[in-house]
Amino acid sequence: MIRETELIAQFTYLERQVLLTWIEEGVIAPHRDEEGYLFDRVDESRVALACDLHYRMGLDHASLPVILSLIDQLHDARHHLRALTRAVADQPEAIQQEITRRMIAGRTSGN
Amino acid sequence: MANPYETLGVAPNASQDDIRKAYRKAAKETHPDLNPGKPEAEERFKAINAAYDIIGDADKRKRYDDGEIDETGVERQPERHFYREYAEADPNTRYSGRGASAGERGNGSADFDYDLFTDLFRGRGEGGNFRMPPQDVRYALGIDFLDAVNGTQKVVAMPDGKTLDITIPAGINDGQVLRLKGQGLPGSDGKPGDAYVEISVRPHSSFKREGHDILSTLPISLGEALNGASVHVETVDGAVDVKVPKGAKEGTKLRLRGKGVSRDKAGGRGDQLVEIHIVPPEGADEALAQFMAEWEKTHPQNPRRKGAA
Repeated sequence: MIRETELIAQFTYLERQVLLTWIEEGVIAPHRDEEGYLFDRVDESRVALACDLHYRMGLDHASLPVILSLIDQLHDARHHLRALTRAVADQPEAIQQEITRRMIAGRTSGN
Repeated sequence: MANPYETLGVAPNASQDDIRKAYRKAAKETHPDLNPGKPEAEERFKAINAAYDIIGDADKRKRYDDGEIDETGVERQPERHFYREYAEADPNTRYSGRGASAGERGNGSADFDYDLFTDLFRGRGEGGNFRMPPQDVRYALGIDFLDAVNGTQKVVAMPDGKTLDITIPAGINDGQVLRLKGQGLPGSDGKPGDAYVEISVRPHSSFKREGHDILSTLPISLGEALNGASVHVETVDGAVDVKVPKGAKEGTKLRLRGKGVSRDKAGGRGDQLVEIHIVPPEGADEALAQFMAEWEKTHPQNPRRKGAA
């Protein structure tokens, strides 16, 4: 885990005040101890994403938390989908085929 | 590495503004965190970033145009871990949204291949989307006794974060289930399932319910019982004055018509049955005791004897 100064040094355009705003809004939720914030690899990667969105892709401060929340929900959904896919893949071939058949049937019946 | 103008798909004489727009469009389509289902996006995104690092900056662009630096002549991008590498592997991080349960944590296998899903659910059909049926959701709602009798409006937060306005009809029973059509979770076609809300009614300290009638107890003094009185009685919709008849007996039930629970179909309301409970005078009063001793001499009474009135 790294400290605030190390983190800011890693991202050339990241301003301290912006980072603090993100922390305040919960966009970034670092650990903390008596000496201040501690950022782990997940936080780092998330700061990188927030920097891309804000500094390079032009998202404003109001949009950023919204977009990140949607991204988090997308990841959750993908996680569930992965679990479901694995569960289906573990089933006997006949059951897999039946599931596929029903999905196609449902799709073409138009409801 | 390719020519940065070609990578971003802009003309060599494009304005900085055009270059920025082109970058943003390309980044939106290829940023690995915005496209978690496209493993190939990462390489493309890196190329776009490298190109933008040169020509997105007016000074560097000029140096590149002047031949001072080539397309590899900028700082190497450090090894980067994208957020998606963590976010999807473990949805129980503090950044995760609602919905993931702890039981799914740590299944050890982070090798999900979106293609697997595609193979299973798209490849065999004619291509198209995975289909989920609409889902019904179930919900338990506790309400106060008087709200159940009189009806009320409730706003309830659903598990998915939506809020639901629920109209509790007057006279709802404990255990009754309300069906809210279309308030469940949508299927893949956008059609929602239904929400089912099971009502549990919290007991009241002085009212009980029996069918459409309300039962309550009315404590009165011995004097009120003997002489009759007009007393305040609480009903489910406020206090009313009730006449206690002269000579009222313990256990007598007074019927307050129309002060019960509404009958949904039949219309009208049940009654309130007020059971009289005579409370003897507090403490020992010598005068009363003497009077009673005298009085009982001429009015012998054995309430333990069968048929005693």
